[in-house]
Amino acid sequence: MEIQSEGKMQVAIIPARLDMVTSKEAEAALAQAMEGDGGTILCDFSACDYISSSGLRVLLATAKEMKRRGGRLVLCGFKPYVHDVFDSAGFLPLFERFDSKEEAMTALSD
Amino acid sequence: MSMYTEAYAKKLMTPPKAVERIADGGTVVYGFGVAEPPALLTAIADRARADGFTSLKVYTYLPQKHARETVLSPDLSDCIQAYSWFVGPQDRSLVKVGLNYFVPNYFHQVPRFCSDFMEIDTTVTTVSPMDRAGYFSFGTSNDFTSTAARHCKRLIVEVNENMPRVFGDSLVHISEVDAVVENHVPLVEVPTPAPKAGADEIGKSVAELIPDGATIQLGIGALPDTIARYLTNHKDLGIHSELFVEGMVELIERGVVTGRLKNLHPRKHVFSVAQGTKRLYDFLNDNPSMESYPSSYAVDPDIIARNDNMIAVNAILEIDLLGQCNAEYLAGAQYSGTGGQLDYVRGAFKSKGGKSIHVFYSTAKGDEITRVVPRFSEGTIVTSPRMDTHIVATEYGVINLKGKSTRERALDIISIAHPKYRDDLLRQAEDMHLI
Repeated sequence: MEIQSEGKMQVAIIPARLDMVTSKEAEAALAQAMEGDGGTILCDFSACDYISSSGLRVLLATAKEMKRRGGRLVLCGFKPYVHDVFDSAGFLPLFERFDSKEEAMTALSD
Repeated sequence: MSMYTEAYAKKLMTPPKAVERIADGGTVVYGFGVAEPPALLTAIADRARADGFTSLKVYTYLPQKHARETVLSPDLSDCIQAYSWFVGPQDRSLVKVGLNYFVPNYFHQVPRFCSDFMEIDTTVTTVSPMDRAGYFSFGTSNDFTSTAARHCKRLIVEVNENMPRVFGDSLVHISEVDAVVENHVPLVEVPTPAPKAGADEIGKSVAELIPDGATIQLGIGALPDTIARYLTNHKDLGIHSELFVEGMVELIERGVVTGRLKNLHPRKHVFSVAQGTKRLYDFLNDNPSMESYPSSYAVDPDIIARNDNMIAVNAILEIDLLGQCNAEYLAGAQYSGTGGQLDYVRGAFKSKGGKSIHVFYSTAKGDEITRVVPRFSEGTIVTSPRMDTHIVATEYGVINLKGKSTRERALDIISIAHPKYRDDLLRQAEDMHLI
């Protein structure tokens, strides 16, 4: 999974499928991105069509670890299916979320 | 102070202190339904939120609100892995997205899962207050809870004065308990949902199939409860049921249910789980006619069959033209569970003069969807195989499938579908080489 540095922010490009196969790689990439204290990781879901429970768990664990370190994990760019999965899982209230990457970048750079 | 009250006092502690003993990485079983222990489940969730668990397995069966608000809370799904023996409204969406894992079972087998196939670290459940001999009662929840309580490393009980004291094989002694907490809150109430149009037709026709002197089992839902309302002129009925429900209280109070003619446990009303309103819980309390047993006994088909004229009534979601019944799978996902349905279907048919009756509404969503289908959609779970299906009732009639050919079965099944779907079903039956 690709991680790009944009200013002070790390942007994780979530793959088309965040599932049991890809979530381990995503977990490792996110762990690397959050080395050190604080900071913000923005997970860009605009290319993601499918997320499984493995992907959900990786995001939850990463968000908790970020919070412990005084940082934040932010999500953006949900397609309808991904939104439905987050909704069914009761995960929507657990994450800071924006409709698009642009909207997130604007809000987070304030 | 007796030796039992002394032991009680020594084991009494706060919920956070009690759950400190649960091993990280361990397996927890908690009491079914009304016996969910809110203070202990809250303490487990609080410990998980304070990073007190890196992993915990929690087993659930038709969870209620206390579980949903604590151990099934989405924010804990990275450290608490929930397993579901029976899915309900509180965990349906979690099972669908794969956060909770469904465990297929017959209800009568679940106690053996607990004793032989799981290493349970801790069992937590709500019990009634201790009596003078040092016994608590499992109250509304005997099922697998009583077995899990005796096949775990530690048993923590949450004493609630509102939990009824129930007879039968429903007691646990203070000497078997590792920790006690007290929490005297009102029990969860599970009112029966309102019946839909057509329920009265089904209730009347099914009641006519039940002879005086029969022993009955009624499943969960509005339809079985409606049937109970049409039994008020019957005589000497008995109860041997996985579930004790609101409609049964009235039948006992009116003298319709006496249990006088039962072969097994005469004059006793046998169940494994109870759920309803405060009226039902008050009725159960210290009532010597009520006996609860583990599901390994009360839901065992061989035990069920020991009462003559055993009548099992269970609701299903849909039937296909082969006579297979689906009671647990909807829209591509696990909707509920097998529960004790197939156990009672088989036990009732094995009983001398017994009958198994499946009931359902012929349509859903304002007649937009037929519940009589040619074939189940791909992946659908069969709760009752076609060889087990006996009597089936909808608002359009009652049919018997036993001893019938595949042609006769298909035609009979189509005869109880909604009329607007019958021609299409006949054509599809022809395409399937059934008629």
